[in-house]
Amino acid sequence: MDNNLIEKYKAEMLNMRKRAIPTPATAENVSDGELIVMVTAIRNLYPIENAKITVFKGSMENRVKITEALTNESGRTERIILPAPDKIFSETKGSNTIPYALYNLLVEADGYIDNIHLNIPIFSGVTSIQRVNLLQSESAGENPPPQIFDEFKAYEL
Amino acid sequence: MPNVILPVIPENITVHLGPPGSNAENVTVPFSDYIKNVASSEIYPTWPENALRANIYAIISFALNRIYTEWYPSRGYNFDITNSTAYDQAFVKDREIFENIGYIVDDIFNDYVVRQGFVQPLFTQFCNGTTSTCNGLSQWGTVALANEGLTPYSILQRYYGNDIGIVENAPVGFTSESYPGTPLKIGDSGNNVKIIQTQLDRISKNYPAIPKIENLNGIFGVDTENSVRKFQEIFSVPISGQVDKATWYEIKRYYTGVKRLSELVAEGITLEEASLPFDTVVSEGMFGTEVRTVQYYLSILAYFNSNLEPVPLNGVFDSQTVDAVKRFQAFYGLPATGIVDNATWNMISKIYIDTVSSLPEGYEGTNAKLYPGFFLTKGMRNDSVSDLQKYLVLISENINAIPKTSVTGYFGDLTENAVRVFQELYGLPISGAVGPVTWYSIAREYDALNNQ
Repeated sequence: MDNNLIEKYKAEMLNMRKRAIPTPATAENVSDGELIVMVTAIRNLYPIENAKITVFKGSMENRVKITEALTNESGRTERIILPAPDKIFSETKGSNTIPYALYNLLVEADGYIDNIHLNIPIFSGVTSIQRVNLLQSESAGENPPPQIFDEFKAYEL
Repeated sequence: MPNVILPVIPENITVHLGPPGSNAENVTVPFSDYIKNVASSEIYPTWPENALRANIYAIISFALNRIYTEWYPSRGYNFDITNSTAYDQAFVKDREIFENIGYIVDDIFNDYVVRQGFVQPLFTQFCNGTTSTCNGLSQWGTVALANEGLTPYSILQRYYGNDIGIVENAPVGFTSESYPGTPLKIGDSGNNVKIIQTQLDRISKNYPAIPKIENLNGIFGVDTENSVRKFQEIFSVPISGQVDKATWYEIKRYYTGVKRLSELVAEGITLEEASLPFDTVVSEGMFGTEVRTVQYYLSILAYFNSNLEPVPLNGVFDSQTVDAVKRFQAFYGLPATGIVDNATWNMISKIYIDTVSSLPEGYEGTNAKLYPGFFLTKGMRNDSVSDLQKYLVLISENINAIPKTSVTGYFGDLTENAVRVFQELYGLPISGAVGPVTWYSIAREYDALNNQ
């Protein structure tokens, strides 16, 4: 990154966020993207079968379930179809509409600590692959809390 | 003419999760996973393919430049690159990646941009082209150029000058078996086919959906093709049935991961018989066996828990060891002092034993299991004694001097005697008890005999 422009970049980013309140996609401008979840233990050495994946929106306490899936013997779910804004919004510079949809995941498997992945971006016509590495609950002490991963990142391009 | 070191694609890259001077954690990830992550964080996956490729070349070259010039280590830092976009490129730990971007990265992860006549990967700065402009690639600009029909190379020339070149198929650091250059496919035969078949066979032990290859004979038949397809499906590589570059390196990457554990274990073999906890408090500045023991156990635990950071087994309690201890302490709810006191020793020991005893059935494949975390001595009756006896039986079938035992699960006189003879033969302290050193010496013999 050009060091001379860092401060200017930061100031402009802040102003952009203040000025533009991006509009979420409406029913007319929605199509589909896909999500595949791959659940393993011991890094990716060992697949976890029958892990339950819950796709939801909102916070963990007030969650709206979108869909559920189970992993197969290779630790993979089927392709999960999820609505996302039309492609056009990510192909045009300076578009005022957020070009992706954000979803949250809860991953549960017997004998493992729950994982929560927040703010996974789904783009129209694109498959997102989320790898999930679970930790065994016995090696983490009493009543371990879920591991939470928040992928939110300002996608201002 | 001085010897020139050529760039090699590293196995892993260590990313500092903040600006260089900040007190943030480091995370070490495989190089191609890093590139997939950065690309998924920096650009939109819906952009035209040539724009994606041009951006990914720039991302790869930028990272390789940092590594090749040792930019951060030469300034006293213990990482290769940061994820601060003011200094380097975006990286979001544990994020999802886009399938199409993953495919491109697997295709070009060992290609990079150079200034013609120079060896060093080019420092390919880039910026978004809306809120920031710079002396390098404009991300949004590549979209327009790709839509005009420019190739990735032409797009890169537009931003970096005409006198650039792209080095293709650079050697990769995690395997000495480089992709042969053309895909292996049905009808082919030879040593490369045999190696791939053997490695797929090993992988299928953990991923049973991959069908067994009947004959590991180096002839690429229908069953090999079916196994390749299933591997590609599971590991998100384009499903072609051929072992192309992406498939070749994905197989190597996975196989290296499988071997990593046994290599880690092998490094621990020269430790003295050490049972935790020690009496001494171990802290920064110390060196010796206790330090190496701490480093060894932390590295094994880091293998199983990616929240922990592995640490080189150099026997010196340096700043990297301090950081690894703090990470461990923070994760397990201890005060993160970086000092291995009694409470920390106890926790390391407990977590190690918990981890080993709760590993999934068959995790070890055909190899010996990990040291259970406690000394095996006469009078004990448990599963680890059974495992020990199983290994001793195979060894005694091949080495006459080792007396025969049987797998009873009870550590009696016969077992103790066999252990003593083994220890004497292998130059170990003759105690008749099995601590980590004796265990791993036996395990190493077992693995060697079992995998012939």
